[in-house]
Amino acid sequence: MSATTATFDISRGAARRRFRLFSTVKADPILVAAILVVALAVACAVVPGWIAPSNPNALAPDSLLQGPSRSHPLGTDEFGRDILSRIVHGARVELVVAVLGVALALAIGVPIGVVSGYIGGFVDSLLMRIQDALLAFPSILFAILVVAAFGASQTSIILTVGVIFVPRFARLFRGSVLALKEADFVTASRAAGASDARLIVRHILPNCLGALLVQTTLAMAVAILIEAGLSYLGLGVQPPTATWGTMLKAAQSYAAQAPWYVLGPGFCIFILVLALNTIGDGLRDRLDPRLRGVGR
Amino acid sequence: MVRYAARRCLETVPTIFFVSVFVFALIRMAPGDPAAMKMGREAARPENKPKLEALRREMGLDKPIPVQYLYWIRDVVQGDFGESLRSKQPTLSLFLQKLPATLELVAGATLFALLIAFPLGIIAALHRGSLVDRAVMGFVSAGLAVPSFWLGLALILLFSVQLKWLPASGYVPFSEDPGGNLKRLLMPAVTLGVYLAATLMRFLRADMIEVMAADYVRTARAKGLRERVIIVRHALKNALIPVLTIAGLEIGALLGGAVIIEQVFGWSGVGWLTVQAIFDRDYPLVQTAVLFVAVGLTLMNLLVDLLYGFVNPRLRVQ
Repeated sequence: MSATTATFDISRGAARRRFRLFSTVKADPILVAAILVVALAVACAVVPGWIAPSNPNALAPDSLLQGPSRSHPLGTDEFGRDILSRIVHGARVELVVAVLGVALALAIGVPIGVVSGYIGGFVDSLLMRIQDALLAFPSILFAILVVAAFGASQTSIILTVGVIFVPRFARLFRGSVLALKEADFVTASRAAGASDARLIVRHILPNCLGALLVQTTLAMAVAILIEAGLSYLGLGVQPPTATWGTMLKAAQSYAAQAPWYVLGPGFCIFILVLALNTIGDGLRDRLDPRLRGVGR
Repeated sequence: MVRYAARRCLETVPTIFFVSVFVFALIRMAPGDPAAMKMGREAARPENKPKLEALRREMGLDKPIPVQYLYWIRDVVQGDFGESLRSKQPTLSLFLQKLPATLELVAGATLFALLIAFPLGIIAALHRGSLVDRAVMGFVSAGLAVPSFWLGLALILLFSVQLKWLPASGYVPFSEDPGGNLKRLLMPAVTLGVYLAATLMRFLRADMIEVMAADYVRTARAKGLRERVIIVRHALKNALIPVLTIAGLEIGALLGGAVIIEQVFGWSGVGWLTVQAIFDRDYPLVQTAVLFVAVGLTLMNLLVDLLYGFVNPRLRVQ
């Protein structure tokens, strides 16, 4: 194949990809809605002060547990604080936990997976048994261990999420490296004298990026559920910081007299997790055409 | 098969070793001197200092950490899991007392999940794109995203507060009051089972779609077999294996979920015990509970893998 035809092929591929991205918006309104939900959550996390109607920590003893009204669209809590404002400010904790937790998992899990798959042998067995051990802990129970060691805080949740997802990323990358190690283009590059580091960074890692993107999105969704669960148990972020989990914990005591208090934060967790899952599945369908329409 | 089984069993040994190391290390990192915590308030008095030192020596706390780990393992292997700091009872018996309640909850959730996932997953796969299929896919998306305790609270609001059909919370042993036990089991089991039901439905549907397009199903059709026979005997049987593996592996997620669900419904099982223990700073109890669950799940995974290897010969060669 001459150089000109190769260039021609690449540019055609790029054009086709752009076209597919454009048609996606028209063909998949649910995916677009999911992206908008995540964008809104990010906006709330970055500039909550611009979006929230009032101060999330302003107490109002004369308006406790009021139903939705014009001044408080989602009602007020047991201290008279505006629920909508607390939800908007709570988004920051959710996203910080999700992003930092998953980033930590990637930082540890990817090198482990790559080393394990590339070197193999005893190192591989040893590293994989450690991953099996980590996988044996249900996430909430592992979180309880972390809380025992370091106390209940946002840092503990990030640490928990980080460690819980290490084996998942490590296994993913180990599998990809094992498959790609023997691929023809890698063998060709090795024959041409490329070093191990170059083979990994230039040839193997870029080919795992699609799967990585999918798993990262799905992991962030689970991270948010873990934060909510831990805060609900009282093992997460401590009051008065507003997070969706701590709000639900407080709301439980007033569930019968103020059902809207339970509704708001729970719905936000639900919608954000749903949106992240939808984006993850959408990416997977697009990156792996074999799965298209099967909905696995 | 024997070689495959032997290898998998052998692999489990280091895994359990690392599980125990994680549990030991994290509990050992907890703030406070274990000996002082065991003695209670007495430990703070200056005149008790020699007694505290003696206790530290007796508990092996003056030894290096790896030696302490070996002491702990020696005791655990002999069935001595230590005493609860709060109730002074052996942690193992406290744990075992609460285990039946949690197992009942997990079994109820699994039963619920299987009962709705099977018919709905199969119908959805056979009628792709139909209204039922879309409803099933909607349930799957929602079931995977809904925070379980929120769903639990909603069920309590509806069935206990509004309709007054079911008691909001509590646990009574089946042996004391079978009716009351099952009545209280209903809501927590459904809440816990929704996630598993969604997971199973998703895989069952996808597997059935794949299998129904396979050559041997086409052959069965060409032979003139009735559609029911094809679905049950040819398709379902083959779609079943991966689904059952997933069900086995999801038991861990169920146990984790049970920790939260038990709190919502005041179901006094293992999760409830562990959360209480962490608030009481009762570290020996936390240690025993987490170790037991994690090792139990490791053995469970081994069992699933062995069964899978038994039904799927391709897996044994590696």
